[in-house]
Amino acid sequence: MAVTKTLIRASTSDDHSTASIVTRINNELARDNDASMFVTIFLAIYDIHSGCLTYTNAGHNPPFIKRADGAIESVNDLHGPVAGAVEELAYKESQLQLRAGDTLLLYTDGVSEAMNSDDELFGEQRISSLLQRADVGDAESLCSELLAEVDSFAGDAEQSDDITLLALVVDKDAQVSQTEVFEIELVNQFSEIDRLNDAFNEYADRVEIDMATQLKINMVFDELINNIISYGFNDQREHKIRVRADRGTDELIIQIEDGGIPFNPFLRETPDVGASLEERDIGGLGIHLVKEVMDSVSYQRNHHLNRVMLVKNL
Amino acid sequence: MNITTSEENNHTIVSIDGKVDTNTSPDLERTLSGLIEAGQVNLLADFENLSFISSAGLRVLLATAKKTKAQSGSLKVCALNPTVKEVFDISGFSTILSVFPDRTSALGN
Repeated sequence: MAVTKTLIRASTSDDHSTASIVTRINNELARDNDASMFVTIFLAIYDIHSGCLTYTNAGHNPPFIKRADGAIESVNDLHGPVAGAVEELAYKESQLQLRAGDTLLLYTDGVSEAMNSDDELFGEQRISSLLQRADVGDAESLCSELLAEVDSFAGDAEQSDDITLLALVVDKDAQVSQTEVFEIELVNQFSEIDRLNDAFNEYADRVEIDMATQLKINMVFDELINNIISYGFNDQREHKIRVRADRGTDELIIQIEDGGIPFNPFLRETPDVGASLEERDIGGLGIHLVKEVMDSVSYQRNHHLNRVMLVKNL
Repeated sequence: MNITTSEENNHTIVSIDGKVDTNTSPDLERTLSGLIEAGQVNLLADFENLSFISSAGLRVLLATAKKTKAQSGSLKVCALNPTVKEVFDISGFSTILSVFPDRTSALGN
């Protein structure tokens, strides 16, 4: 436990992919692990601006979310087994959106498996029921309420495991993205660019992004998706490309992920745009257009994925 | 994308309706190559109804401009919307192609 905390602290300063961090931690823990110790991890990074929660679940109990409208969701994505058990595993990650008034509740199995004197388990159902009933004001009172309920359930029965709760409540007035998020999964075929642009423009209309910006984004998608499909894959198989767009108050954030060969498109040299007609070469022009049309571009290689992030000020 | 061609004032006018991108640029390339092979080398691409153009389309325009110039002709473009204009400015195409505000000024020149 202490070792795991140290490893997490050491890894999170320079790495913003939970998949990559958990993969590193797992390798460290699994090496020379003669005692066969292991830990469950739910590691998440919350972007307070976009409201995006990126997380990796390594064998941990699925957390709950209570949405601002009262709906309860279980966060069921698993990205690999408990950490420390097997070396050289590649963990994955997922993303979900937390909005103003949403609550995320994490718990250890000491909560769900707390027993009463009749050997009954507290169970996940009681956790979600309480979350549903609770008038979530702040994280601390929610945890206190749940702990009190576990205590009263267990009665005189001896505590068998550690009981840990962590609640994250997004302030009701938080300026996180209030609008819907655009997500689409493409395959590596050129016809998919049209499907992407049509779907994006429908989204853009709904979240009031003007036509001129839509056309620029359409062009940007054409350049980047064309690049990925043309150069990203060395085989003839079908591959997925994921595109996500999120309209914030004054900016549009776009993310494109593919599992192709590691490639940072923005390292290409800027073409000589002043060359004469005869000398003019077209290479690198598409990426140059993308860089100029967007307000910021960046690239990360995150565990077998190329991730391009684009920002357009609105 | 739809392409309409017409003749006016010793020019072949190619009107493009829609977008010129990865999927549509091969069509535009076929049309323009066909015109040049038929000896029509004074071309005017009318962009009044062009929504956007990506580098795939710019590549076709560049190749066409080179071919027409080699045969003592030219490729003019006119009526660029602000998005297309920005792409032309960023890419330097504003300086390597003759750009006109509208069809009348392009034909009169």
